[in-house]
Amino acid sequence: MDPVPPQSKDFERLQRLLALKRHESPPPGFHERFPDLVRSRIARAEAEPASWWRRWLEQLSFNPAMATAYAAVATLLVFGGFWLSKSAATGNPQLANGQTLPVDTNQAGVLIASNAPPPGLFRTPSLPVQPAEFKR
Amino acid sequence: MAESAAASSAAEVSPQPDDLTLVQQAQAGDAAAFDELVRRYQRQIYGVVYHMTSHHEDASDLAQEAFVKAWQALKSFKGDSSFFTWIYRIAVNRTLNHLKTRKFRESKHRFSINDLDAEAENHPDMVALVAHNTPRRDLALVELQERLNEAMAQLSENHRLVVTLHDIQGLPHEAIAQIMNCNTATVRTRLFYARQQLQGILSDYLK
Repeated sequence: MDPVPPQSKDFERLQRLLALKRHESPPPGFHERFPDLVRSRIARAEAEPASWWRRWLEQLSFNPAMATAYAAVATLLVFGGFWLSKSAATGNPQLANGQTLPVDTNQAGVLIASNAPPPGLFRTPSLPVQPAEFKR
Repeated sequence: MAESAAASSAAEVSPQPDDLTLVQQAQAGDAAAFDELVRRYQRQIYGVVYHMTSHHEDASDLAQEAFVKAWQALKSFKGDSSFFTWIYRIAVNRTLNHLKTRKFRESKHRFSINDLDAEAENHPDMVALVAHNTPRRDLALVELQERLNEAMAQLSENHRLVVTLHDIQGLPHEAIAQIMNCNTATVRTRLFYARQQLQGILSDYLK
Protein backbone atom coordinates (compact mmCIF):
# COMPACT_ATOMS: atom_id res chain seq x y z
CA MET A 1 0.00 0.00 0.00
CA ASP A 2 1.13 3.57 -0.63
CA PRO A 3 2.45 5.40 2.40
CA VAL A 4 0.14 7.96 3.93
CA PRO A 5 1.19 11.41 2.64
CA PRO A 6 2.47 14.12 4.90
CA GLN A 7 0.05 16.88 5.84
CA SER A 8 -1.29 18.37 2.64
CA LYS A 9 0.14 21.68 1.49
CA ASP A 10 -2.10 24.42 0.35
CA PHE A 11 -3.49 23.27 -2.97
CA GLU A 12 -6.22 25.86 -3.06
CA ARG A 13 -4.79 27.80 -5.99
CA LEU A 14 -4.26 24.63 -7.97
CA GLN A 15 -7.83 23.57 -7.32
CA ARG A 16 -9.06 26.93 -8.56
CA LEU A 17 -6.98 26.48 -11.70
CA LEU A 18 -8.33 22.96 -12.20
CA ALA A 19 -11.84 24.34 -11.93
CA LEU A 20 -11.26 25.78 -15.40
CA LYS A 21 -11.65 22.29 -16.79
CA ARG A 22 -15.23 22.18 -15.55
CA HIS A 23 -15.98 24.86 -18.11
CA GLU A 24 -14.83 22.75 -21.07
CA SER A 25 -18.09 21.81 -22.71
CA PRO A 26 -18.79 19.55 -25.69
CA PRO A 27 -20.31 21.11 -28.83
CA PRO A 28 -23.85 22.44 -28.40
CA GLY A 29 -26.52 19.75 -28.64
CA PHE A 30 -24.12 16.92 -27.90
CA HIS A 31 -25.84 15.82 -24.70
CA GLU A 32 -29.26 16.03 -26.37
CA ARG A 33 -28.11 13.69 -29.14
CA PHE A 34 -26.16 11.35 -26.87
CA PRO A 35 -29.02 8.99 -25.78
CA ASP A 36 -29.95 8.51 -29.46
CA LEU A 37 -26.35 7.64 -30.29
CA VAL A 38 -26.31 5.05 -27.50
CA ARG A 39 -29.65 3.62 -28.62
CA SER A 40 -28.55 3.23 -32.24
CA ARG A 41 -25.28 1.67 -31.12
CA ILE A 42 -27.16 -0.86 -28.98
CA ALA A 43 -29.41 -1.69 -31.93
CA ARG A 44 -26.34 -2.18 -34.15
CA ALA A 45 -24.65 -4.39 -31.57
CA GLU A 46 -27.79 -6.52 -31.24
CA ALA A 47 -28.08 -6.86 -35.00
CA GLU A 48 -24.50 -8.09 -35.27
CA PRO A 49 -23.83 -10.18 -32.17
CA ALA A 50 -20.20 -10.49 -31.16
CA SER A 51 -18.37 -13.81 -31.37
CA TRP A 52 -18.60 -16.13 -28.34
CA TRP A 53 -15.02 -15.51 -27.20
CA ARG A 54 -15.49 -11.75 -27.35
CA ARG A 55 -18.65 -12.07 -25.26
CA TRP A 56 -16.75 -14.32 -22.85
CA LEU A 57 -13.95 -11.75 -22.52
CA GLU A 58 -16.51 -9.02 -21.95
CA GLN A 59 -18.15 -11.06 -19.21
CA LEU A 60 -14.76 -11.47 -17.55
CA SER A 61 -14.15 -7.75 -17.58
CA PHE A 62 -17.42 -7.26 -15.67
CA ASN A 63 -16.68 -10.01 -13.15
CA PRO A 64 -13.18 -9.75 -11.68
CA ALA A 65 -13.78 -12.72 -9.35
CA MET A 66 -14.53 -14.99 -12.29
CA ALA A 67 -11.53 -13.63 -14.19
CA THR A 68 -9.32 -14.38 -11.17
CA ALA A 69 -10.72 -17.90 -10.94
CA TYR A 70 -10.04 -18.51 -14.64
CA ALA A 71 -6.52 -17.14 -14.25
CA ALA A 72 -5.88 -19.41 -11.25
CA VAL A 73 -7.11 -22.50 -13.11
CA ALA A 74 -5.03 -21.60 -16.18
CA THR A 75 -1.92 -21.10 -14.00
CA LEU A 76 -2.50 -24.44 -12.26
CA LEU A 77 -2.89 -26.18 -15.61
CA VAL A 78 0.33 -24.66 -16.96
CA PHE A 79 2.35 -25.49 -13.86
CA GLY A 80 0.74 -28.94 -13.57
CA GLY A 81 1.57 -29.70 -17.19
CA PHE A 82 5.11 -28.46 -16.73
CA TRP A 83 5.57 -30.54 -13.58
CA LEU A 84 4.16 -33.66 -15.24
CA SER A 85 6.38 -33.30 -18.28
CA LYS A 86 9.40 -32.69 -16.05
CA SER A 87 8.71 -35.72 -13.88
CA ALA A 88 8.16 -37.92 -16.96
CA ALA A 89 11.47 -36.76 -18.45
CA THR A 90 13.48 -37.31 -15.25
CA GLY A 91 11.93 -40.71 -14.38
CA ASN A 92 14.67 -43.31 -13.65
CA PRO A 93 15.51 -45.29 -16.78
CA GLN A 94 15.37 -49.07 -16.48
CA LEU A 95 17.41 -51.88 -17.98
CA ALA A 96 15.78 -54.87 -19.50
CA ASN A 97 16.25 -56.90 -16.33
CA GLY A 98 14.43 -54.33 -14.23
CA GLN A 99 17.52 -52.92 -12.55
CA THR A 100 17.30 -49.14 -12.01
CA LEU A 101 20.11 -46.91 -13.13
CA PRO A 102 21.20 -43.61 -11.67
CA VAL A 103 19.84 -40.56 -13.41
CA ASP A 104 23.26 -39.31 -14.52
CA THR A 105 23.29 -40.20 -18.21
CA ASN A 106 26.61 -38.65 -19.05
CA GLN A 107 28.52 -41.67 -17.90
CA ALA A 108 29.99 -43.76 -20.67
CA GLY A 109 28.25 -47.01 -21.28
CA VAL A 110 24.96 -46.11 -19.70
CA LEU A 111 22.09 -47.28 -21.79
CA ILE A 112 18.91 -45.33 -21.61
CA ALA A 113 15.96 -47.47 -22.37
CA SER A 114 13.32 -44.85 -22.82
CA ASN A 115 11.13 -47.29 -24.68
CA ALA A 116 11.96 -50.21 -22.46
CA PRO A 117 9.94 -53.37 -23.15
CA PRO A 118 7.65 -54.69 -20.48
CA PRO A 119 9.45 -56.73 -17.85
CA GLY A 120 9.85 -60.40 -18.75
CA LEU A 121 9.67 -59.94 -22.52
CA PHE A 122 13.39 -60.52 -22.96
CA ARG A 123 14.26 -62.81 -20.08
CA THR A 124 18.03 -62.75 -19.90
CA PRO A 125 19.92 -64.43 -17.09
CA SER A 126 21.58 -61.93 -14.85
CA LEU A 127 25.15 -63.14 -14.68
CA PRO A 128 27.25 -61.72 -11.92
CA VAL A 129 30.11 -59.92 -13.60
CA GLN A 130 33.13 -59.14 -11.53
CA PRO A 131 35.21 -56.07 -12.19
CA ALA A 132 38.49 -56.74 -14.02
CA GLU A 133 40.72 -56.03 -11.05
CA PHE A 134 39.25 -59.01 -9.18
CA LYS A 135 40.12 -61.44 -11.98
CA ARG A 136 43.56 -62.56 -10.98
CA MET B 1 -59.26 23.34 -15.68
CA ALA B 2 -58.09 23.70 -12.08
CA GLU B 3 -57.94 19.88 -11.83
CA SER B 4 -55.76 19.55 -14.90
CA ALA B 5 -53.47 22.28 -13.61
CA ALA B 6 -53.21 20.48 -10.27
CA ALA B 7 -52.52 17.19 -12.05
CA SER B 8 -49.81 18.72 -14.18
CA SER B 9 -48.17 20.38 -11.19
CA ALA B 10 -48.38 17.04 -9.31
CA ALA B 11 -46.68 15.36 -12.25
CA GLU B 12 -43.99 18.03 -12.17
CA VAL B 13 -43.20 17.45 -8.53
CA SER B 14 -43.57 13.66 -8.62
CA PRO B 15 -40.26 12.14 -7.58
CA GLN B 16 -38.08 10.56 -10.23
CA PRO B 17 -37.73 6.78 -9.91
CA ASP B 18 -34.50 5.85 -8.19
CA ASP B 19 -31.66 4.12 -9.99
CA LEU B 20 -32.47 0.67 -8.64
CA THR B 21 -36.05 0.84 -9.88
CA LEU B 22 -34.85 1.96 -13.32
CA VAL B 23 -32.23 -0.81 -13.37
CA GLN B 24 -34.84 -3.43 -12.50
CA GLN B 25 -37.13 -2.12 -15.25
CA ALA B 26 -34.24 -2.12 -17.71
CA GLN B 27 -33.29 -5.66 -16.69
CA ALA B 28 -36.85 -6.65 -17.57
CA GLY B 29 -36.23 -5.23 -21.06
CA ASP B 30 -37.57 -1.70 -20.63
CA ALA B 31 -35.37 0.35 -22.96
CA ALA B 32 -37.00 3.61 -21.86
CA ALA B 33 -35.83 3.00 -18.29
CA PHE B 34 -32.30 2.49 -19.54
CA ASP B 35 -32.62 5.67 -21.59
CA GLU B 36 -33.42 7.52 -18.38
CA LEU B 37 -30.27 6.10 -16.76
CA VAL B 38 -28.24 7.23 -19.78
CA ARG B 39 -29.70 10.73 -19.53
CA ARG B 40 -29.02 10.79 -15.80
CA TYR B 41 -25.33 9.90 -15.98
CA GLN B 42 -24.17 10.79 -19.49
CA ARG B 43 -22.62 14.13 -18.47
CA GLN B 44 -20.56 12.62 -15.67
CA ILE B 45 -19.48 9.63 -17.73
CA TYR B 46 -18.59 11.75 -20.73
CA GLY B 47 -16.81 14.14 -18.35
CA VAL B 48 -14.58 11.56 -16.71
CA VAL B 49 -13.58 10.07 -20.07
CA TYR B 50 -13.02 13.49 -21.60
CA HIS B 51 -10.82 14.73 -18.75
CA MET B 52 -8.82 11.50 -18.89
CA THR B 53 -8.26 11.64 -22.66
CA SER B 54 -8.49 15.39 -23.44
CA HIS B 55 -10.10 14.26 -26.66
CA HIS B 56 -13.76 14.96 -27.46
CA GLU B 57 -14.20 12.33 -30.20
CA ASP B 58 -12.55 9.58 -28.14
CA ALA B 59 -14.58 10.59 -25.11
CA SER B 60 -17.83 10.51 -27.05
CA ASP B 61 -16.99 7.09 -28.46
CA LEU B 62 -15.86 5.58 -25.16
CA ALA B 63 -18.81 6.99 -23.22
CA GLN B 64 -21.25 5.49 -25.74
CA GLU B 65 -19.36 2.21 -25.58
CA ALA B 66 -19.58 2.19 -21.77
CA PHE B 67 -23.37 2.53 -21.89
CA VAL B 68 -23.68 -0.14 -24.58
CA LYS B 69 -21.60 -2.54 -22.44
CA ALA B 70 -23.68 -1.65 -19.42
CA TRP B 71 -26.88 -2.52 -21.32
CA GLN B 72 -25.38 -5.82 -22.47
CA ALA B 73 -24.18 -6.71 -18.96
CA LEU B 74 -27.22 -5.39 -17.11
CA LYS B 75 -28.40 -8.93 -16.33
CA SER B 76 -25.20 -9.50 -14.33
CA PHE B 77 -25.75 -6.36 -12.26
CA LYS B 78 -26.67 -7.64 -8.80
CA GLY B 79 -26.83 -4.32 -6.99
CA ASP B 80 -23.76 -4.96 -4.81
CA SER B 81 -22.73 -1.41 -5.64
CA SER B 82 -24.80 1.49 -6.89
CA PHE B 83 -25.50 1.80 -10.61
CA PHE B 84 -23.52 5.03 -10.50
CA THR B 85 -20.37 3.23 -9.23
CA TRP B 86 -20.90 0.35 -11.65
CA ILE B 87 -21.23 2.50 -14.78
CA TYR B 88 -18.28 4.62 -13.66
CA ARG B 89 -16.15 1.48 -13.29
CA ILE B 90 -17.07 0.33 -16.79
CA ALA B 91 -16.24 3.72 -18.28
CA VAL B 92 -13.00 4.06 -16.32
CA ASN B 93 -11.80 0.55 -17.23
CA ARG B 94 -12.51 1.11 -20.91
CA THR B 95 -10.76 4.46 -20.80
CA LEU B 96 -7.67 3.02 -19.12
CA ASN B 97 -7.54 0.24 -21.73
CA HIS B 98 -7.92 2.82 -24.47
CA LEU B 99 -5.10 4.95 -23.05
CA LYS B 100 -2.80 1.91 -22.91
CA THR B 101 -3.35 1.16 -26.60
CA ARG B 102 -3.18 4.84 -27.53
CA LYS B 103 0.38 5.05 -26.21
CA PHE B 104 1.47 2.95 -29.15
CA ARG B 105 -0.52 4.94 -31.66
CA GLU B 106 1.14 7.70 -33.60
CA SER B 107 -1.35 10.47 -33.23
CA LYS B 108 -1.15 13.88 -34.82
CA HIS B 109 -4.21 14.94 -32.91
CA ARG B 110 -3.26 14.06 -29.40
CA PHE B 111 -5.74 16.50 -27.96
CA SER B 112 -9.16 17.54 -29.12
CA ILE B 113 -10.09 20.00 -26.43
CA ASN B 114 -13.60 21.32 -26.03
CA ASP B 115 -14.26 25.03 -26.07
CA LEU B 116 -14.76 26.82 -22.79
CA ASP B 117 -18.30 27.85 -22.03
CA ALA B 118 -19.26 31.52 -21.75
CA GLU B 119 -19.32 31.28 -17.98
CA ALA B 120 -15.57 30.63 -17.82
CA GLU B 121 -14.61 34.05 -19.15
CA ASN B 122 -16.61 35.83 -16.49
CA HIS B 123 -15.80 33.55 -13.60
CA PRO B 124 -13.97 35.64 -10.95
CA ASP B 125 -11.38 32.89 -10.34
CA MET B 126 -10.54 32.66 -14.03
CA VAL B 127 -10.38 36.41 -14.47
CA ALA B 128 -8.02 36.61 -11.53
CA LEU B 129 -5.85 33.79 -12.83
CA VAL B 130 -5.46 35.28 -16.27
CA ALA B 131 -5.14 38.89 -15.18
CA HIS B 132 -2.78 38.63 -12.24
CA ASN B 133 -1.22 35.25 -11.79
CA THR B 134 0.31 34.37 -15.08
CA PRO B 135 3.74 35.19 -16.46
CA ARG B 136 2.11 37.13 -19.31
CA ARG B 137 -0.75 39.33 -18.31
CA ASP B 138 -2.26 39.08 -21.77
CA LEU B 139 -2.28 35.30 -21.71
CA ALA B 140 -5.51 34.08 -23.13
CA LEU B 141 -7.70 31.72 -21.20
CA VAL B 142 -7.44 29.26 -24.06
CA GLU B 143 -3.68 29.10 -23.73
CA LEU B 144 -4.03 28.43 -20.04
CA GLN B 145 -6.54 25.70 -20.85
CA GLU B 146 -4.03 24.05 -23.20
CA ARG B 147 -1.30 24.17 -20.58
CA LEU B 148 -3.65 22.65 -18.08
CA ASN B 149 -4.51 19.78 -20.40
CA GLU B 150 -0.84 19.18 -21.16
CA ALA B 151 -0.08 19.11 -17.44
CA MET B 152 -2.87 16.60 -16.85
CA ALA B 153 -1.50 14.42 -19.63
CA GLN B 154 1.86 14.25 -17.86
CA LEU B 155 0.31 12.57 -14.83
CA SER B 156 0.13 8.80 -14.58
CA GLU B 157 -3.31 7.40 -15.40
CA ASN B 158 -4.17 6.66 -11.76
CA HIS B 159 -3.11 10.13 -10.64
CA ARG B 160 -5.04 11.76 -13.48
CA LEU B 161 -8.08 9.73 -12.53
CA VAL B 162 -8.13 10.85 -8.89
CA VAL B 163 -7.63 14.48 -9.89
CA THR B 164 -10.45 14.18 -12.43
CA LEU B 165 -12.84 12.49 -10.04
CA HIS B 166 -12.07 14.67 -7.02
CA ASP B 167 -10.87 18.08 -8.11
CA ILE B 168 -12.82 18.36 -11.36
CA GLN B 169 -15.92 16.26 -10.80
CA GLY B 170 -16.12 16.78 -7.04
CA LEU B 171 -16.64 13.17 -5.97
CA PRO B 172 -15.87 12.30 -2.33
CA HIS B 173 -12.89 10.07 -1.48
CA GLU B 174 -15.15 7.15 -0.55
CA ALA B 175 -16.92 7.13 -3.92
CA ILE B 176 -13.56 7.33 -5.72
CA ALA B 177 -12.25 4.40 -3.65
CA GLN B 178 -15.25 2.32 -4.74
CA ILE B 179 -14.78 3.24 -8.38
CA MET B 180 -11.04 2.56 -8.30
CA ASN B 181 -11.45 -0.53 -6.13
CA CYS B 182 -8.96 0.63 -3.51
CA ASN B 183 -9.15 2.15 -0.04
CA THR B 184 -9.60 5.82 0.79
CA ALA B 185 -6.03 6.15 2.13
CA THR B 186 -4.73 5.18 -1.32
CA VAL B 187 -7.05 7.74 -2.91
CA ARG B 188 -5.77 10.48 -0.57
CA THR B 189 -2.15 9.50 -1.22
CA ARG B 190 -2.57 9.50 -4.97
CA LEU B 191 -4.39 12.80 -4.84
CA PHE B 192 -1.63 14.37 -2.78
CA TYR B 193 1.15 13.24 -5.13
CA ALA B 194 -0.86 14.14 -8.23
CA ARG B 195 -1.50 17.66 -6.93
CA GLN B 196 2.13 18.02 -5.95
CA GLN B 197 3.20 17.04 -9.47
CA LEU B 198 0.68 19.40 -11.06
CA GLN B 199 1.81 22.20 -8.81
CA GLY B 200 5.35 21.67 -10.05
CA ILE B 201 4.33 21.64 -13.71
CA LEU B 202 2.05 24.65 -13.41
CA SER B 203 4.20 26.61 -10.99
CA ASP B 204 4.26 29.64 -13.32
CA TYR B 205 0.53 30.03 -12.95
CA LEU B 206 0.39 29.45 -9.24
CA LYS B 207 2.82 32.10 -8.00
